[in-house]
Amino acid sequence: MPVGDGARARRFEAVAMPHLAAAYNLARWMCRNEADAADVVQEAVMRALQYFDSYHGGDARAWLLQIVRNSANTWMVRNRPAGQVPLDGSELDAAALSEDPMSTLAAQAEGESLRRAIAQLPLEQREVLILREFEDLSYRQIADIIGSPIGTVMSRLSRARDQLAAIVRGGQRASS
Amino acid sequence: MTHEEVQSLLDAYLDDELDLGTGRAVEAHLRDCQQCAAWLAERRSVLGQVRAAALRYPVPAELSARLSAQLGTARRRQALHAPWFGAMAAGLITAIGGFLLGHSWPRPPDFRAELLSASVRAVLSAHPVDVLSSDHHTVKPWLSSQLPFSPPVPELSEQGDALLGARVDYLGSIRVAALVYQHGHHLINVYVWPLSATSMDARLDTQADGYHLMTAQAGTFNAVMVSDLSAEELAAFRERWRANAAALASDSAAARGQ
Repeated sequence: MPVGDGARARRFEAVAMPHLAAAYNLARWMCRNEADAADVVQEAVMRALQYFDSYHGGDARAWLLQIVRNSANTWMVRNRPAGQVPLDGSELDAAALSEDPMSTLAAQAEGESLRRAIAQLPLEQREVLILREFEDLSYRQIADIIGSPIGTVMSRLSRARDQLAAIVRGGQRASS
Repeated sequence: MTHEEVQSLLDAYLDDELDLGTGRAVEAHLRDCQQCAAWLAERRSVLGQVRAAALRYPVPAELSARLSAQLGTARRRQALHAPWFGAMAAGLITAIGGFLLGHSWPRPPDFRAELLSASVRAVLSAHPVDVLSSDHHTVKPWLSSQLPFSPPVPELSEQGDALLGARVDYLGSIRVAALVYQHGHHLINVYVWPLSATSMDARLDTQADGYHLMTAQAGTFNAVMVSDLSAEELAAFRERWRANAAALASDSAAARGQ
């Protein structure tokens, strides 16, 4: 006899919802747009609930992020045909700036140039970079999430980091 | 290893993703190659700036609220969806569901769902135990001081199950002891309470969402083990635990008899 389904939904909340912040951040960086990201996360969470039986313990965050990643790709193919992905402008938004009053304008400006640089990376590099730098996932976990070999993860990550390094180098030259 | 080979591995080295041998070879090259050392230093600095820049996007409050509402709905809907309702029309479900829910048939309490979610919460929380000790001479008195009974606290470290500690949990209105063991990378929660407090069908083993739940009796105590171990491993743990708990019970009976 299976345990009650109400308990299943409660367990799902206990397992998946602690990772909502990671889920939204990934979707937000992939979609580059707040409204799209919210739709993607909502769809992904419902899909995760539906497929909760396929979760066999293990890293719940990686499990949820994989569903979010796939949902984001499906969503963009369906709703944002190639070349029509709008930056929603909040890449430059005051709201997106750090709210720490102690941070200097210079640091904010640098943070913003990094934010723009990441937003402009090709999607396949951007998702790997977010999973590595923001979620600290291992190459193996990232490879599982994007369904590619570890070598692909390594090369995409390196190229993404090369871009950011070039931005930082350029910024330093400009300010000196 | 050539300079070019090392170059292609520096990101992986930085991320601690190289095996020991390759990592040592990279380090040996870094000691001699200023170019690679400088490259690595710049990389570290750039990634440090990325992390320091606080570029995460916070979850919009509106999305959190929407999801809570939807999951709440899913929960209520699923609770009504007993299989025999499946074929019925939605309106009928609402009408009959309300009627059926108003009636409860007498049957022994089924704590399995509660135990599963308590275990998941404990595994996810930063503090799965209230008393942190691998020594049953510490854990047992603590539990006795918190509970109206003194549960067996088997120590199984020699068999690969490290005792991490214990906490007190509630099953409905009953206070139970929760012993926490670690086997490999997996946590095992063992809930223990006296048979006299409430009976429980001894064959209620179940599983859900990657967690297994297994019941046992040891002397005058009920025990329920919950873990994401495989069914075989958890069954083996149950045997170890039960054998040790039974030995403890006969020891204490012998002690009382003296």
